[in-house]
Amino acid sequence: MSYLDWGVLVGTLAFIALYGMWKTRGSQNIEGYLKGNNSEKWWTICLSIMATQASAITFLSTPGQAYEDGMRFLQFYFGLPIAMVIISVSFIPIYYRLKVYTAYEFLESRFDLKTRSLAAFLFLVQRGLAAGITIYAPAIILSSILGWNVNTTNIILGLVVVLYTVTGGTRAVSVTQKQQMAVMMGGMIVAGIIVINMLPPDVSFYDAVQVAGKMDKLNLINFSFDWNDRYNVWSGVTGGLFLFMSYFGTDQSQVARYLSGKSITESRLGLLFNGLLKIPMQFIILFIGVMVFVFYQFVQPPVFFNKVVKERLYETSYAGNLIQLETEHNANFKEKTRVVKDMLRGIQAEDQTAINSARAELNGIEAEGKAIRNEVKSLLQKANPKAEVKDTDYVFISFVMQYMPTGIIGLLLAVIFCASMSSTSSELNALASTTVIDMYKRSFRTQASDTHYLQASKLFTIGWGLFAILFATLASQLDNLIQAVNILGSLFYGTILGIFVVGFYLKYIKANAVFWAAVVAEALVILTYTTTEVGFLWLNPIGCLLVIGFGYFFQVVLPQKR
Amino acid sequence: MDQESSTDNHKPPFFKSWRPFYYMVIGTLILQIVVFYAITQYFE
Repeated sequence: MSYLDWGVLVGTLAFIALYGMWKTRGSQNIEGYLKGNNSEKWWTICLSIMATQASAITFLSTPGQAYEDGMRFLQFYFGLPIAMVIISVSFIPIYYRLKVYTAYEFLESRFDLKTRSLAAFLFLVQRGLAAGITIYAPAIILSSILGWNVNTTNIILGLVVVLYTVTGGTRAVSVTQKQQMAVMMGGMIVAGIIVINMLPPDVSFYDAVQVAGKMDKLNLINFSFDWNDRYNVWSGVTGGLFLFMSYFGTDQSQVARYLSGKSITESRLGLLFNGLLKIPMQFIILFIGVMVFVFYQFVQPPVFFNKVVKERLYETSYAGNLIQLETEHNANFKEKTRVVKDMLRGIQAEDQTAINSARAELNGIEAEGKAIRNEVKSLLQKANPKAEVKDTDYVFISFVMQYMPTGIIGLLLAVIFCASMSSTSSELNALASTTVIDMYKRSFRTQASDTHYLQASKLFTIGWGLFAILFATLASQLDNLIQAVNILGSLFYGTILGIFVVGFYLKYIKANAVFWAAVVAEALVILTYTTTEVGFLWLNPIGCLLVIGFGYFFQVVLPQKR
Repeated sequence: MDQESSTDNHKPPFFKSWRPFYYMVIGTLILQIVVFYAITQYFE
């Protein structure tokens, strides 16, 4: 990496961290530290919500997913605007009326302490582990591509976030997220423009979109219903709705963002504009991945995008097989480019027969190319059974490193780091406030001064930060951890949402019934996950509906207090 | 900031009440689905 790239990367990150610390300097109280003194305007809330949700994996994985699978992943977000409306109507007014610091405080006023503690505990377990992964996931990819030490990357990234989050609390999180979001969207738009400009001179933007469409990469909408198909309109609207209601309505890392609003109006506008902007933002990121795909129809892509893992194979007895497969891959690419050019001529001449003939030929060539890549993956696994054979996450970053101009590489690495830091800071802030408000202040040290709780909040932020860094460091020794923690989220989200839905809408169900319903629902969700093949997105509605169903059941069956 | 003053009666900008704003968000979602469907069909 050049000095200019290093300058852009370090300069951007240092500026944001220092700006956050400077902007939030001075004396604070607990209200200011955990709720930002309710001073945020709607655009800050909106950017903060978007920056919290956008992790580094969003920018590393999503373009790669579009490269492999097209743009159908966009449908996953169709439930989000509906969730924003429901939360604006039902959740926000209640949170404001009760003047809560955390979402779980509401559960005590509606049910009892044990239900509040159960929901807060589920959140701390799930989010505490996820914070480690938010740091670890980009670190492992960047260290693999750039040759950095993964633990050093974890520690530096984690400590910078801890520093400004501890110093400025919620306000520092919001202030820095505005800058981080600007870097993220600015960087991705620049990347998109450069990718389009890097297409061959005889391929216009319209041609590129045509090629992408004919090669099934613009598969944005699928109305056919299929339980086994993870992304279609119906799974996006229903499964996505439950997931996003739970995430934005009950996950403190998001609730804290809009509770820092100046008024209900500002909080609502922040959420609703997130509902308006999120889908176009994901569209842009996926579209960049599709343009990278079109670029690689004319410029030879590597047979496997994770260069480090591939190069290790050269040092084994399988090197000969790999060279043979690479030769076949090269021949396959040349053949594919020839047919893509034929198709392009057909498109330009509006010759449907030529287009159809090229498409039929391409199907066979692509299947052959896929078979070659699968053979490479099986070789990698034979050489090292623990090797990471999924290279989708490496498509975009390897493209950036190989083809982007100097300076832009540093900017795009800053995008990835900003995304990781913005999510981590929200998570640490939420973990600390939940620990202090729902556990420490409520059950352990109930009568202390504001200064004491402020100090405790700072210490818990440091504690959770160190835990996240430690977990990120140990994560490299465990298999399939990222997937495990993603699934962990879906295992808990449905149950937590179920408790809140009962709290908001089903007055008939009381404290004991909802508590035991949540315990049983959680056990059944875990049982469903371990014994069936149900996709983990569906665990969200299942968990929620089980809490509601068992809530009614226990309300009838359990003896009532008089 | 006194949150008691933050009541549900605050209006969104450009709208007389929240309801049309909510309809606008849902309407935009429907419009996006229609546009994406058209893109899928046109370039297929």
